Amino acid sequence: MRAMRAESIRSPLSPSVSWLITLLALGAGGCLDPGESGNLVPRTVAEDPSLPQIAVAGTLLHAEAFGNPNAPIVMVLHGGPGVDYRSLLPLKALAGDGYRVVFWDQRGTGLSERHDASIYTFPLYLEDLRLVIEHYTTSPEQPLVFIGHSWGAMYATWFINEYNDYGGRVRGAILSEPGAFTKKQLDAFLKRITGSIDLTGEQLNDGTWSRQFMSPSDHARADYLSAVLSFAGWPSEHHDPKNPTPFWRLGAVVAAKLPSIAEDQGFDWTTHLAAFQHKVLFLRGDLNTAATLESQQELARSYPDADLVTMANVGHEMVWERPDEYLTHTREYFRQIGFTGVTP
Amino acid sequence: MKCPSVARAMAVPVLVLGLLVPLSAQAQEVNLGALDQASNVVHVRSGAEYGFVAGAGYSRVVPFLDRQLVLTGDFTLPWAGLDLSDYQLRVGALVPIVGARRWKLAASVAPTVRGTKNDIGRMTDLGADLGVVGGYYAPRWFVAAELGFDWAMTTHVSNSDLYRSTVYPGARDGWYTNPGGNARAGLQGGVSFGRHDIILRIGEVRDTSGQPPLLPFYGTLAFDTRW
Repeated sequence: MRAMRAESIRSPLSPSVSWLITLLALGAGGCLDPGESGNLVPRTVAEDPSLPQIAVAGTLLHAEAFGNPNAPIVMVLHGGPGVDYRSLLPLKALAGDGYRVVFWDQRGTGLSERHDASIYTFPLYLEDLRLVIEHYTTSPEQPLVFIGHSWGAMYATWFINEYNDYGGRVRGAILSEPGAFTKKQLDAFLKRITGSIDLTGEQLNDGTWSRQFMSPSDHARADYLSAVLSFAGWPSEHHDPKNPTPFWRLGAVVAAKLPSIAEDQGFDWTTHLAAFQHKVLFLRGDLNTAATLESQQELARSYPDADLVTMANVGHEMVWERPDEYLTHTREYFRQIGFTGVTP
Repeated sequence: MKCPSVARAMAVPVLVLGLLVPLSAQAQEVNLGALDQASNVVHVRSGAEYGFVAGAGYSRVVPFLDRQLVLTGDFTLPWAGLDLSDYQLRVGALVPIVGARRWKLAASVAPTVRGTKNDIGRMTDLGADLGVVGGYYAPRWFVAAELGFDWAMTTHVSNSDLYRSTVYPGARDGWYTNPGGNARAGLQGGVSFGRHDIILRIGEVRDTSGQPPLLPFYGTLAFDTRW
């Protein structure tokens, strides 16, 4: 290919035309379908019944739980929106401490079933979380704690604002670098995070240039293309390039649709947080320049009782990059709030 | 798998391209009203089109059935975060199809090869840009509207080791048929002085899902020299 290109630059017409037509003819014989799951992106639970899954509210969610089913629940909420729980799997270690650790890919993300953008609403997404809790509930008073990462921390706060402690069941939450709890905070957060992108840098160029090779005409292609730009993460989040964060499959539609709803409708998930009488732990990495100390302090003030702990020399992907330290903070917090596991 | 039917469907445009290209060629930016005395045109171009780009090309103007056909070869690189794995090579034809005095309408077809390398893999695309441009062309200036479709007919994907190890080990390498394309609508206008033209193009882009791509507009400035 390179040799052909060099030749064509010297003589751009007849030689290049002949090999180009040849290549076009060869290309016409290509036989992979970019829209078929399993080719560029893995199949979802709707296409692969062997994957762990639950049926909730008319959709199939990729989900798995570890530990004693009757133990206190640790409900893990991944980031995004549009990412998945793969990078949070180090939290599975909590099952060994006597907790029921629940991981699930939110609707339309990871290996969960895909839907058209038109079905997504805020009430639907919030109800999904409530129904997942109910799915894994084995007794009416089974306690639970949220561990929410990034968007997942916003999601947990949204639930708490709506349901408070859910009849006494929600005993606390670990919130790792939520972006915002209100539309105004979100605007400021997005300004910080998008401002870290170099407009003339290779990351953005790769994202824009790649759109000539494939279009996001279906979920498979859209999810695959999303990875081009987002693989390295936002520069402000300070991912460790030597330890790339894994994911199953991005959910491009959700990643676009939920922020679009937020933009159109606005939101304020702080209106009832004052009634939540349980301690909340905010965990942040000091390398993340979008989730600044000041911004996390502002968010923490929305809760009546919140601690904020900063992990040194780590960015946004603190669970994946520093699992032992994250688990240490988690266990200490569980001890403080009296959230005790049972015999595994 | 739709392989056989897709291959048959694609055989038609490939055949059409094969017939058209030897007859003629394409230039995206040219003042059709200033070509009377010219048989050669070189151009350089920069701007934003799927990234910040710079390009250069050569056009040969040839008579064909009482018309001027513009045969062009053009090479483009995105210069933001310069990476020689990202490129576009295009050859093609601009064919005047109707005209009355200074009002002209031309059609273009331009087989295209482009490549890229990013975190998830390396892609090579074989495609074709089909377009029409029409407007008022005076010897010293012109303004025209343009419509076009940049079709990615088939893209070869080689998924990166990073993608396989971090995301999906089962990702399949190979030629992906009819992976997408982008439609555009815009304006172009220019001034001609002596043997030179300065031409500006601006417009909007929509992909085959009907949505704007990450860079939903284009704008390029070209400088031509004719002799």
